[in-house]
Amino acid sequence: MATEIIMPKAGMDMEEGTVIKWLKTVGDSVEVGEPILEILTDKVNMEVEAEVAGTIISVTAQEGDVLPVFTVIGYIGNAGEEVSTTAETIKEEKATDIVKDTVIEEESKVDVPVNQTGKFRATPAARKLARDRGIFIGDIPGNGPLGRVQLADVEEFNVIKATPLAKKISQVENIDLSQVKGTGIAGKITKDDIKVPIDKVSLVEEKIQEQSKVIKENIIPMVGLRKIIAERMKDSLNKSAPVTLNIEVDMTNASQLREKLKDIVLKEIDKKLSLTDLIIMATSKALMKYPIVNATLVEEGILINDNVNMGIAVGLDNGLLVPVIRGTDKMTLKEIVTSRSDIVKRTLNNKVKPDELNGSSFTISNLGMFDTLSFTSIINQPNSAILSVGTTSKRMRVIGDEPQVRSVMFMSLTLDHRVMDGLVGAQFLQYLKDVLEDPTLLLL
Amino acid sequence: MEMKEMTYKDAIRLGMSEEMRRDKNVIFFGEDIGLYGGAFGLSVGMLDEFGEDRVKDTPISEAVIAGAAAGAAATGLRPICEMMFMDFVTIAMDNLANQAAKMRYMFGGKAKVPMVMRLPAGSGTGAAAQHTQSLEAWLCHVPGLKVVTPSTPAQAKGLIKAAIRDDNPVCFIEHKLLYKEKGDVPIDEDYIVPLGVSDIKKEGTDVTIISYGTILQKVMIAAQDVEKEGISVEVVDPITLYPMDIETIIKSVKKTGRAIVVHEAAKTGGLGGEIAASITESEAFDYLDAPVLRLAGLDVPIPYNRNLEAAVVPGVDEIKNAIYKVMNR
Repeated sequence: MATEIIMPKAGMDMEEGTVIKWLKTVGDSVEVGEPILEILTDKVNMEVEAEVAGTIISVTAQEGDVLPVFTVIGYIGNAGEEVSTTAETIKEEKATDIVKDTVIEEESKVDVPVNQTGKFRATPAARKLARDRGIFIGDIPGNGPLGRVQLADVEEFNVIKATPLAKKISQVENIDLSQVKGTGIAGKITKDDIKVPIDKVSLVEEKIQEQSKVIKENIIPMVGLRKIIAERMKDSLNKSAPVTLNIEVDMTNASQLREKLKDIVLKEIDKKLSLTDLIIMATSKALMKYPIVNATLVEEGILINDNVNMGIAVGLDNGLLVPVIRGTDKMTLKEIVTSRSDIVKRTLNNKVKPDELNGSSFTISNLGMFDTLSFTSIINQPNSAILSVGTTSKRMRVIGDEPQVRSVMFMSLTLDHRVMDGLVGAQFLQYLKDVLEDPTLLLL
Repeated sequence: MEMKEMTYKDAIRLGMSEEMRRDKNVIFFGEDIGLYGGAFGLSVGMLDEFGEDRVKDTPISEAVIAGAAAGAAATGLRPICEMMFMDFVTIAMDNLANQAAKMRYMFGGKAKVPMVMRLPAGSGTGAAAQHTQSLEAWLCHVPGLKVVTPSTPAQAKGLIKAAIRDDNPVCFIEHKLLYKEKGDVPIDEDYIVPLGVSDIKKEGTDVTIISYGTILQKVMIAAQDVEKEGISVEVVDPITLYPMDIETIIKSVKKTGRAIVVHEAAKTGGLGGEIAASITESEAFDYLDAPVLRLAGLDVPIPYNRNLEAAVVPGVDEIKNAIYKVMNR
């Protein structure tokens, strides 16, 4: 019997997905795990892999179709097999109708495995821990009754942490990642850890980029990422009571510190230390001092977060994503550089995971690389505030009574007046300015 | 605190007697409680001490007993009345639920009803379906009534005193099987077990069991048995069933991540469902690592046959099995 290809639910918030490109067509044979099409979820591109081996016998969704999750979009079966007479005759009708019929037929015969229903059997305690650790609950094998994931399963779950590119290479080259020692952040396996000739790496890279190309038309449909951004921005403005405070920061010392450390960092971890990294570090410190700025407004009241989960606004050609670096308040500068460069790079390559886009407690938007002097941002819900960082440029400033050339940066804090008042925002900015102007304070 | 060993039954009598000595407005009445000393001999000697005006035998009418208590309480006395068996509260229910429970509210607080209704409950005596029920859920469902149930002699004494001193109708559920249980009881006349405060009978880290009354003894045996197998059970006795000290239960479940409610009363519509729901809708939800289980009496009348009677309420093995189940062992 034919097996359905469904629009997967790839993230907790995902309700619909867009078919971007079929990588296989009717008649193509597929192996288990082989990518068969590419979809756009709420925020990222991802591949749908074949759950069974066989031949694509039917494709019911066209490229560009926006469909609810779990919609059947095709079938895998034996070569020459037909989906079923009922399905064939109503092929012209909407794909969702076909889904209904087929699903009922399937359910009466077999139990739908948990991972096909998109629901996962897990205890609340297990879910909480998985959420805290940023692990997708569906990835964890459950050892409880009925395959339920329990707390102990999450505790013992050993994720093989690898960059998507490294995973891809290992797939193509048939490398067992569990045997590879990762040298990236928190032991993450990067492409450099896998010893493969460089031309093969770029081949895979090329393939990934090629697959990521979005269909271009004159009208940009308000779907996927654009739609989500539109909704979230409007929703944030509707909900919050934003107030913006501006401050000027003398970045001369911070710039000198960066110059001093740049080569050392480059030598040690092969990453470029940016001013953003120093700003992330200083901001995390300021947030721990003024935890209300790091708070989240929830139904029960104002939730003071224990950690700083720093959202970094990353602009793409087709929109804006805010990947999250978790626990920046506990990171060394080196760790911040590694995490920031890794997640920003993957975000730019459309290879960030849906769960990496959730759970921020504060957000920094930095347009300093352009000559933008100063700007305000819309609060990234459910954060309570956002920092907008402008360009750092040389200006005349009065030091003592003498004019001097200094590196000066403007930044603004937009805060939600429901959660805090301007006073605490001003104190927060003042402290952040103090730390950036005298980065030795970071040592305290 | 000076202690004296005595039975649960004697502790209730001592509590009542102390309060009657302290406050002349406290009176006591029921069927055969005077001359005969009560169906279970609980009130032997009280008629002699307090006289016919304060310890009164009533006609065989539970409706009259409840009505007289409500009326006496509303007009200034602090009556203790007794149902010979809790099962008979059904006849007293109109006066209890529609009058006693409502008066304080309907008169805007100008009337109060400081009465105590004592209700011997539970199976295990071979007294068949009409003399063995555990009807606490009926009473907890009536706003305006407080419901308490002691599980030890010390609790029994302190709790009956608190119930008598309370300005609301308090249903005091006693367990016939516990009447002869002995334990150390504080003889201090100021010893009170406050209403609405639970007791953690045993601390543990793996499972919380919430239980009360006679069956609590089986829970303690089961908890000690599984302790040898490395399962640490925390046992919470709510003591007051309404208004229940749910905060302590939630705190415990947040610690252990697993909860079982054990009671003798029939499962359907029982307090187990109420407690389980209170846990899952609280902040303890995110800490649950197993479904909250209810272990309760079967939904059948209590059989007369002793073997069958024992079979319809949870035993030590069933409690242990429930523990294994939530521990996934």
